Amino acid sequence: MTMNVMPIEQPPIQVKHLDMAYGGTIVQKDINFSVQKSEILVIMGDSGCGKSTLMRHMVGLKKPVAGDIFYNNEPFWSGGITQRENRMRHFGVMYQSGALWSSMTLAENISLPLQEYTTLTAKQIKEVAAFKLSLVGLAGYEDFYPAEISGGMCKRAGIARAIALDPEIIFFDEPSAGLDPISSKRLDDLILALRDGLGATIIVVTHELASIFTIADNAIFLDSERKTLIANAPPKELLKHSTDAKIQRFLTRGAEGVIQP
Amino acid sequence: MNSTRWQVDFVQPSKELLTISMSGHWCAADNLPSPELLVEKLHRFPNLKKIAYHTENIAHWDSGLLSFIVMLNKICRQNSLDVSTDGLSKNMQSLLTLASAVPERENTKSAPTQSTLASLGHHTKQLYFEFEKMMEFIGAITISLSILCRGKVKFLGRDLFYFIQDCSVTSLPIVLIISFLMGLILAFIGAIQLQAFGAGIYVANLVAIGMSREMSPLMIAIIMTGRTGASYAAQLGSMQVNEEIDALKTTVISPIDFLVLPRIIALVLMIPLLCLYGDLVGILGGMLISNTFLHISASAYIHQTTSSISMVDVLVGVVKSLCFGLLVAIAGCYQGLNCGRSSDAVGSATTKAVVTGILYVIIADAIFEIILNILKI
Repeated sequence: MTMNVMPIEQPPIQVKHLDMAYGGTIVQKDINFSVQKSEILVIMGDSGCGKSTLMRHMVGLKKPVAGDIFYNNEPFWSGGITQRENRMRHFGVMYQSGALWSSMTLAENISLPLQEYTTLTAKQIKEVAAFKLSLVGLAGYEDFYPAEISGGMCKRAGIARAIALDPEIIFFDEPSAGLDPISSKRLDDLILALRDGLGATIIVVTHELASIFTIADNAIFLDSERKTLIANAPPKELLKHSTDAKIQRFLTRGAEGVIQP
Repeated sequence: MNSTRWQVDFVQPSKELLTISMSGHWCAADNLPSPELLVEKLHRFPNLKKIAYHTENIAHWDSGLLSFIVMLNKICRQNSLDVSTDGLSKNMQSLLTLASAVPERENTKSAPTQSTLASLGHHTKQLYFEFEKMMEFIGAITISLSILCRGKVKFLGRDLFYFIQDCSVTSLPIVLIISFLMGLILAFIGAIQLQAFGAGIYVANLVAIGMSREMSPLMIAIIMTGRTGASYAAQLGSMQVNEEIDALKTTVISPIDFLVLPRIIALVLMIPLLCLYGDLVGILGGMLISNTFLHISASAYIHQTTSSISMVDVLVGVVKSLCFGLLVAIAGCYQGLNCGRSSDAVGSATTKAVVTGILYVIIADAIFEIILNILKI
């Protein structure tokens, strides 16, 4: 007689007891949260609280002082470099400034990961690169160098590069900061479309309230004073039910008298 | 001017209250009084419990007035005096409220100064970490090179071509000038000494051997440190600042394979050619001096040169410059990749690349001399 035991599905991303530090100074400690598949998680917090630092730990740029991040139940940092690099191939990362490789055109920027990790022909790569650029509203800019386009366009091209390989997990570091409202709205739509269309899990570091309420399924809030995670819930619920004065002030742009500390 | 200058009057409505009445111009450029001085004057009023302001007669004010009031309030509170800001205008009050909205952060000031022994220990530890990091970097380059030798090219051919061009053709003019002048200087030094013994023709030996074994590799290494090493550090440093290196890392493309290797290969391949070119130009410089000052004919000079110089001398120079090129490229790339995240850091990375590059070259040259001396080459 056989018994079918349904496996209990674990969230694909779990951050457990993570401590982060810069040169001996603890930035955040004991951070715990998990992200479900195809969820959009927003990392919020005041300036300098370590949002981007948390992202740097999650994408493999900075080793945590303690704790670990688990992707599909595999430890990310304590699992060895080969395992980590294999995992990183399924990430797409968009940096605050775009971080395009300045010696390459936009099309070449997007093509590089495709050349490295796919068996596509040069023609196919060119087509994919053009399509990804059109997704971020940069169709026709294939042969421009990063220095020839504006900061906002660099940012969007950075997103096109991040999604070049249709990654499972996409990280966005302050994607809408410095963008005009229309580009910002377009970006929110793109993030939602990437999730709905490709089933990607998306982690966004941002403090744009409009964006947070539009895209986030779930959010975490890092506090620079208490140096830890102080909330983990959908932002709309946080706005309604959180009793923490700081979170209320953050989500209401500092409106006084909502809830007193 | 004097009529509109700042003025402070004290009005005492009751024994416990003092109103500081301010009038005239209260701008930072008006040479405002120091708050401490004012507080000293308050000692004239015993039993004082509270301070108030009267600012209606102020004609002009800017941040100078506000910082004066902030300081004054702080000192008064330290002296257990109550302060009422009701007498300040609405605009002043709103700016002061903003300034005090977020309390001053503690523990942000720099750490207390260390004792000499502690800082010596700290620096030694730092030096050790730096050495360890450098060894790691060299190890990573070795691994990348071994991967390359197995036929896996991970950088763009276009990049390699660009760097080769940058440290060959575009470097020729500066190499030409410096090497020609070096030959000239060597010939001058030799001419004065050798002529005294009637051995002027030996200037050719001095220049040929001096240039090929020592001066040409050394001078070209120093030129390339300032030119190419510094530019490597600045390029990689600004890539670090722009997060381009991070973007490579998260795309799982090793910055060593992709950025460092083509730079090192280009310099190591091209610097020996520059060295040979420098030898030739230096000898020509020597010939010019011999011809004009010592009246040695060109054919006699060339004959003397070819009979004095051996293949070994030229090879010693080439091997030296190969090694120097490697050191210069490593110093430049290492400083660039370990650059901080500000534009200031790029500047200091470039400076460090040049300083360490020259230092490595000179040390390596000294080691070469010792080894060549032992081997009697």
